[in-house]
Amino acid sequence: MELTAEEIVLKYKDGRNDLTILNELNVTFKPGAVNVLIGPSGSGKSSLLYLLSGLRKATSGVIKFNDILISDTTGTEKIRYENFGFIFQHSFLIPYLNVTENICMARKDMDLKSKAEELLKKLKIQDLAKKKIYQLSGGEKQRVAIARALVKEPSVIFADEPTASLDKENAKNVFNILRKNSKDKIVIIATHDTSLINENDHVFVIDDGKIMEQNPDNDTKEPLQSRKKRKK
Amino acid sequence: MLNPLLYYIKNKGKGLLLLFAIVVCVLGVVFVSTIILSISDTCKPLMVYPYENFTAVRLLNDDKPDAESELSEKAALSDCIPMKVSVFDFKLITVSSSSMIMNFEDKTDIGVIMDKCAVQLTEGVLPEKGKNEIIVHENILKNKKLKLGDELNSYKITGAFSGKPVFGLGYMDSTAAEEEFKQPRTYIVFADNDVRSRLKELSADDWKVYTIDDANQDLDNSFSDLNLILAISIIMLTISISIAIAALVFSQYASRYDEFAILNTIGYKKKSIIALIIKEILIISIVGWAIGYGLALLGIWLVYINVYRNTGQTMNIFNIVALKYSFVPLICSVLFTLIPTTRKICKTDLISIIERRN
Ligand SMILES: Nc1ncnc2c1ncn2[C@@H]1O[C@H](COP(=O)(O)OP(=O)(O)O)[C@@H](O)[C@H]1O
Ligand SMILES: [Mg+2]
Repeated sequence: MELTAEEIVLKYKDGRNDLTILNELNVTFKPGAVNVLIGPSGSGKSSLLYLLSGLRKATSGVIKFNDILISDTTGTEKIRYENFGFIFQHSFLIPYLNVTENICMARKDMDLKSKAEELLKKLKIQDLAKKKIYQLSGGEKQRVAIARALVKEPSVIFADEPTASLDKENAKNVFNILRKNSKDKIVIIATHDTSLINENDHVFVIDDGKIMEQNPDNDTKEPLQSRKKRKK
Repeated sequence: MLNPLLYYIKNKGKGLLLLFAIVVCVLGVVFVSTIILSISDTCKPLMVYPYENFTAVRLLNDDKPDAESELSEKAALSDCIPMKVSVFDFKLITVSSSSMIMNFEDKTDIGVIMDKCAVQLTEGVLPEKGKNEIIVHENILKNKKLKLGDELNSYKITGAFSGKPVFGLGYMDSTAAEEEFKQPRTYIVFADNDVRSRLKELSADDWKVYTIDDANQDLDNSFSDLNLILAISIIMLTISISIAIAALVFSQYASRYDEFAILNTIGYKKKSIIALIIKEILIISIVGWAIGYGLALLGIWLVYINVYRNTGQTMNIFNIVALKYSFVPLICSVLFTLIPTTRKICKTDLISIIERRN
């Protein structure tokens, strides 16, 4: 199982000019460990997640999930529905539904109730099952979003800044939950917080429109700027 | 499948507000247009229905001794019945119309006229020959607040009848009748289509021939102003309703793009999101329409029972025109929801809605 991006170019219109965000980027993600995308704000981490999940179209290039071409098909919803789970920064939940109902929105063609309960227990929020979204703290909301992503047993989980609104403790928890799920799932986390990374994670650095896998032997906390210079 | 009732079940206040708006709009449109249109419903029995049975012929030229023989070339004289007409006011809810009394000479049998006009005596007795006595349609009694024994246009009312056409029938006192019918000026002619068209050949200088077609034409003419007022009020009502409903649905749905973006991100097709919106708005609009229409019928029925029936006015409670107008608020709520939301959902990259917030 793998998710690959080949020769990806992404340009945004910026007034009259094109702004090149990703420039002939190549990368492959696999299960086994969490894949952490790091890079300064504005480097294109979120954009890459949107391209990989078919939420946005690249200017050029090919994205494949196993043998399914994602970059060319217009209706990527089915793949997302069946294979992908998403955890975004905040309030990525439907405000008028309660916790369990939000989780069960993941798929309407399956009965997810008992699995949802199980997940809530695992995430230690079983008491919140009937609570409305506005009654939850940032950390609790994020765990609900995680539960919704996991409940349908997706093959790929995309997490965009999943810890941005959380304190250190909760942020660590979220990373650990995602790590636990990375054995048989491709987990891709975009973050600018390098302090949460540990030695077993696969770290990818986006900078200048390119992506580079960081050598596991290197110090992950090394400043991006100097790293970039050294690689050149 | 996304449940189209879910949003309104979870947001009862918003659902009820929208439902209420649609109910009030449908109720208003149906009620107002039925009441306005009822004026013509009441006028038909006065102005049109009598002429379904006979054609009125009036001699315009005072000095025409051969009038009767000229008439007999067009219709059998036995079908041409001389009469004297007098008119009186008939009050309607907003305006006033008029009805007529037809008085005959003693040799005319009122029973025969009643048969030909398909009206039946319901109370009292037939008028006596040689006296100023009449019978009137029961709606005339109600409208004029009269009872048997009272006078109308100085004729004594001896009975009332029911039936489609509304008018009064009777005899005149002998001396007046002798004077009036020496040289009759007005006839009612019980005529089929052939006779009717032959009567139309009478010289327009000498004769005025008034048929069912003329009656319908006159009704239409006298209601063209009213129809214009109705059209204008319906259009104004429609515009204000459209603005109100558009503002309401627009604001309700504009606050839900996040939700639609989330659904699309987690894998629901834009098509099924639009289908969800269509189902939601159709359900609420149709329920609102049904309640509004039902309440309007109830209101109209109450007005009928308490006002119209007592005053001998007629009302078509299930008015097709009002029914047609009632769909305007329904169509407004559906279109003003669907057009902006489907445009936005189809045209925008939904993830940018989430992106902007993040
Ligand atoms: N829809 C868009 N249209 C134009 N520019 C965009 C759009 N989305 C993002 N950008 C720009 O692309 C760059 C990369 O953004 P993003 O992918 O969000 O980066 P990151 O997630 O690493 O912060 C930024 O400069 C941002 O302003
Ligand atoms: Mg980002």
